[in-house]
Amino acid sequence: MNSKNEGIEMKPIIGQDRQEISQYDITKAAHPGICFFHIFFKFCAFFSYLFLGLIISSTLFQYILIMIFHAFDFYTVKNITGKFLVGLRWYSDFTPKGDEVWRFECFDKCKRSKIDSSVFWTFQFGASCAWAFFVFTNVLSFEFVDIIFAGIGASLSWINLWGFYKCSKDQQRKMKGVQSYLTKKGLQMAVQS
Amino acid sequence: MDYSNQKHPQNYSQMEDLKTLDLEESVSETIMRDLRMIAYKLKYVLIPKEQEDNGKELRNWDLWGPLIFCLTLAMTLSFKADSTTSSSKSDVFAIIFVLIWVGAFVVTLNAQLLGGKVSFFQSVCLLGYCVFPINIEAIIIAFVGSYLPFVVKLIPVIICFAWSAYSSVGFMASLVPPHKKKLAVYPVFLFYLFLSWFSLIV
Repeated sequence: MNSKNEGIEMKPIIGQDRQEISQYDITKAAHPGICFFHIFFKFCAFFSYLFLGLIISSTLFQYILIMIFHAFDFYTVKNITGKFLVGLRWYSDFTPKGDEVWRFECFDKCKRSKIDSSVFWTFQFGASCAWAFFVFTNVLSFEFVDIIFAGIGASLSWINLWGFYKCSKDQQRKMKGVQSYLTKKGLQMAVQS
Repeated sequence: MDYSNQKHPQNYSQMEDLKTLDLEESVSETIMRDLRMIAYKLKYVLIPKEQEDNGKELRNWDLWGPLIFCLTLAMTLSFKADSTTSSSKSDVFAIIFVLIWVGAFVVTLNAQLLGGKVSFFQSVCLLGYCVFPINIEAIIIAFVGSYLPFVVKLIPVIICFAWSAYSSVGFMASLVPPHKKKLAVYPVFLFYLFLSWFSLIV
């Protein structure tokens, strides 16, 4: 069942872990260290945006640290966290003709734990909304420099959110497609026999 | 894609056969692979004799290299800036940062509007990697600039500007129709000229 469809491979999701444990017990997550880093860089970015001015007086170091945390957060979520916590990845590829195409893929071999997924989606969505809120308030109060840093944070978070959402949506669409294909096949065989 | 002369895959799609390996790849391997990709692309962009295939390697664009060089340049120049008021250092940082990204965006938009057929990100990637010589020059001037007369400082500035411009112009000029080459290339010159000059006078 490995038909390639527009460069996205059809792979069924193996059954989810049986959940005998509390939904939010982070110590029982499949990858607690990676969950921690997923949250850590977002927390650092927010903390340095909001409170670093109280600790370090030089605005230059504040700006540098905020940019570094934004970059680390984006890299971590895109390349590391997405792969381990929800088993998805998205990237840009090019066809032999040279055209650019975006690929959204899912790993079938990993078993996804519900805790990992909920941590991933909750914090990504929460961080994106929070940065969007900060951009909004900065626009209203005409704080131009803050708009830049909040804007960069918001755009990076939303880009990641959109990319992984498309991965999971494509996966769900393919699952539905596979199910309807199998149903049709089953009906056909039933009719023929 | 020619795999024979590359020890490591250069992007995710080259790992099609190694899909399971990608999942089992540890975090440190992921980071090292990305760093090696950046170093490979840097050599490819800046050393012209490495380009045997007319810029096809740039299809594996990434924006991490440009981000690193942009941050390094902004930090170098803002550390060197006047410390009379703390706000001017951070202003320099913000100016350089915004300038590089907005400048690359505008130059790319210009090339696309002139009829160039290239992916937006490839072009921004190239422009970002070509900022590396300006980084070198900024570091040289930051360390030894105060001991040298102005004319001597101009020499590395001119060399690095010429290096940046030459590396990027070859690619940009190949994108647009021949009669519009100068229109596409002129903003690139301006972009690097401004960065070089800025790093000289700050």
